[in-house]
Amino acid sequence: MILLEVILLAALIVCAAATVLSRKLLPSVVIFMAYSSIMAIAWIFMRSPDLAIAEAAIGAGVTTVLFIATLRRVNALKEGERDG
Amino acid sequence: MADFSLRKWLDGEQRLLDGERSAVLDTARPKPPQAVRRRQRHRGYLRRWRRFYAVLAVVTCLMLIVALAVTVLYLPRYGAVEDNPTLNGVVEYYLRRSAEETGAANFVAAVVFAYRAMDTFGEAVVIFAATAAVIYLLYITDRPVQLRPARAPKSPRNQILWQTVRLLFPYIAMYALYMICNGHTSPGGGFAGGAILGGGLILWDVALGEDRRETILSPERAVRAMVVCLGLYAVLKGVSFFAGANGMDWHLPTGAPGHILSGGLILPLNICVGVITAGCVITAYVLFTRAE
Repeated sequence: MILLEVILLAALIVCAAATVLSRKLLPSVVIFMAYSSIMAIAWIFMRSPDLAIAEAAIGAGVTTVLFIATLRRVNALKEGERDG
Repeated sequence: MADFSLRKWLDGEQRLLDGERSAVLDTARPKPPQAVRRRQRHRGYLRRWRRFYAVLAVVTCLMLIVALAVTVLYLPRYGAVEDNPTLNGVVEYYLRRSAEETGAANFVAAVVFAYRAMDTFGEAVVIFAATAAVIYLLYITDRPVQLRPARAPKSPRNQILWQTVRLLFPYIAMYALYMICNGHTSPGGGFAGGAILGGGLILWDVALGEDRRETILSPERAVRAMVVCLGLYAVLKGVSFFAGANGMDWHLPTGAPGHILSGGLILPLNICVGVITAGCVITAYVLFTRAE
């Protein structure tokens, strides 16, 4: 169990760094979504299921959708990536 | 001017993005050579300073990281009861008494919607304010986008998506409603359930296809529902606070913890917050994608 927690936390740090360091915006958003999903699991390990549900719904779901909608609005996605 | 360039930038005018070669700034009038030279020198300064700013940003981040890491070292051990300074009588009181006082089996819901219900009202107002800001920026313009409600897409182009959504949406909505209405007995509650409901509505809205004039829920309707729920929350909790402060015995029956009809005001407050959250999510999405 401890090992799993350590792996989760390491993945959190890797995802956080990758979100900032990613050159393209769409992969950055997707990595941020992965960060939120891992964080949701981490909340369950910390015995707060309320926060886990909120993190999964808002962090991984709604935030990602709004980010991608914003990227479409400012034409930050390439033509090929737009119809997805 | 600023508004004009912002509009152009939102429309994807790339040249406005890098400020040095700005079309708006450069075409003002032809400059004498000396001024050009001065400007080039200025640009050189800017470039050097930019590098300095990058180094400064990294150093600031590193210092912040070190400061936060050192703070973490001084935190009490996770789950430790004895040497935890924040663990005062309040926690124990909530854990021991919340079930019998509020009738909610989920004591997080008891804290959020009963003991600290006014704070939660503030959070709901913040969500409403965010929606109002989105509407003010994207909807109240000279040429507001005309949206009409629609249920099903007209074009057969994305039938796969539409059929999938038609199959999935009832389950998403039912899960969201379960989460909202069961917030006082199990983890979840109005905020999470409302976000899930809003996500389901977004999915439906995406499946409506490329006709950008049709939407599943127009901002007017969403805001109307949000205002009604915000007012209902304010009235319910205001009456409860007023009665409690004046010693009047006005409260809904708390019921037995664990039953669906228990927890007094928590269930209606959860529903109000769920509607507000879902309205915020779907309104933000609709206006982000549709507004000109």
